[in-house]
Amino acid sequence: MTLLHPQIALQGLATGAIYAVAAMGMQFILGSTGRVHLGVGQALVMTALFLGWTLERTGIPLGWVMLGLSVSGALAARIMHPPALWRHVLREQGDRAFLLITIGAGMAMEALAQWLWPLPGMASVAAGAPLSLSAVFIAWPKGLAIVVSASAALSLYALLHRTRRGKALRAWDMGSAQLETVGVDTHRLARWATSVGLGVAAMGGVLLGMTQVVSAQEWIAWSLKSLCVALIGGGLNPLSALAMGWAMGVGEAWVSQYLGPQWHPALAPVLLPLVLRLRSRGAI
Amino acid sequence: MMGWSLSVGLVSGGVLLALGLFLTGPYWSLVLWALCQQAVLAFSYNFLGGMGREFHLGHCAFFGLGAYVSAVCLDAALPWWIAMVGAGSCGALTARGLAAFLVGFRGPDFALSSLCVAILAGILARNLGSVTGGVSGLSTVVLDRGVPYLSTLALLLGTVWIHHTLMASRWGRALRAVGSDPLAASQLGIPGDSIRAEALVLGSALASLAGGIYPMHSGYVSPESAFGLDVLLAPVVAVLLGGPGTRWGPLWGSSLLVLVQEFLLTKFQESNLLLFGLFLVVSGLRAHTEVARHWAGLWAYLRAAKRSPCLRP
Repeated sequence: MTLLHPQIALQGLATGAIYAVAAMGMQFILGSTGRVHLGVGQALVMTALFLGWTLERTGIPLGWVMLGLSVSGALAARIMHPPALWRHVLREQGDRAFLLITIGAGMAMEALAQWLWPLPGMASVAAGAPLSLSAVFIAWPKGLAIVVSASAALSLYALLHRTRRGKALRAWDMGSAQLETVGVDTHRLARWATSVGLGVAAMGGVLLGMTQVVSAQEWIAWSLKSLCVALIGGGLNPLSALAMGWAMGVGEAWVSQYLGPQWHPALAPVLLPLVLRLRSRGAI
Repeated sequence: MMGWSLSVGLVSGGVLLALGLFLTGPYWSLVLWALCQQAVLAFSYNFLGGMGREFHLGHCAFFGLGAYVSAVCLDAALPWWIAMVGAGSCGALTARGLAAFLVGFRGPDFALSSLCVAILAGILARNLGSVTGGVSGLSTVVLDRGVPYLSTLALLLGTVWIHHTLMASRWGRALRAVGSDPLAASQLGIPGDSIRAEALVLGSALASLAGGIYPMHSGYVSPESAFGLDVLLAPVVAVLLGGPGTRWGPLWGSSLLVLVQEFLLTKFQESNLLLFGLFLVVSGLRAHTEVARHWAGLWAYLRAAKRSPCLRP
């Protein structure tokens, strides 16, 4: 008996790809500002539900829809996170206020999503032949999810290491006071990081909508899962988020195979405290 | 002096609440009962979450644990008071066991680890069907409303008394010092970890007792009603609204939370989730003006006005 059937491992990798993309979005905000944004799950779920509606009513190709929804997610995030908000929540004890605000906004958007999409749904993407690797098969949307997650990680890594804003974000880890001393506007930077983070989460939502049935109430579960993966990955590092997202997906597939599918949600909450206990800066 | 005023306040508040619980109609007595339960959870959260300045997101996991222990005891035809004692002691023992692991964390790590404990508790409740009844939960005998109402009232008064007494004690000051500046507190010889562990056990035991009463009134406990997100977040939101670490903040916060939720649920059935979400957003934006601070400001003004004739209205 194999440790993990390759077919199941590949399915796990596809689910892990969505975790990874959502975790990259979460990490972008958390790693720079130090604030937990629970609305990331809402960006994921709303985009997944909106994808089905868009593909059903318009004939726009999937690639353009993915790009359009990611950009729309980033623009919506920019509008909903004005500099005044960051001035309020980047103060001492502002983390609690930010958590309250993001939970509240998530609830309000859940109400809106329930009104627009009362039933769980999945986008009906064009059917195609499954991709095959020797004797292992995978549906093309799942294969696409794996490829997109890897590309997103590489692009974000380049953004963080090659651009001035990316370098400023990484420098934030050393403290906002030092950053302000050298003339960086941290409130504007936080706004930019949130826009990019939620835009990336919206891209994860497109992958989610293509591969899984999703309902409006699931946003908080997705927020918590992406938070777990982001923290286990540690720091502001998209490549570690990618590795941990994939590992989490494959790990859940392994748990499902050996203990039963009802136990796979337990993996992240078991791993996170253990990783934090052993390495407070994440597993990688 | 403090002891007398507190005792008189508790007795008069208890009599008023008892009258409210038994003399108002079924709807308002239910709202008052929910308010008392929420206030117990908020006061018990305020030990570690307010005075200890930790974001204890898993506090209500102990409420759920107490509810399940009590439901199992009631299902086995044990008397209600044994169910309550069982719930409280089980909560305290579990918290004692977890404290060794949890108090090593600080700040966001503590918040997330305690949240993970609550999520795991919910998963166990769903999957250990032979004990917990699985997703559908456990049904129990509904007791006469006097038992849950009076025991909740007694628990609330006891919790407020413990909260206020400890807050003014050496232990309470030490906990606040550990919450404000752990390094300075340790340099002054305050054993931070053991004080935080005591606060965790005390708060968890009180939350478990509140959970122990829950199935006596509702006759039912399920993973959603015991470990649901709204249950987990309610005391955190109540204390944030009222003012963390303040004397009466948990009471104002839980009153505001329960009354706003009830108002929205009855008047705006279709859009209550939307309005409640917006209420949380506004509360977060106005987090520096907690209810307790308004009350403290008004109280200080009235005291000053009493002393100085020129300030009298």
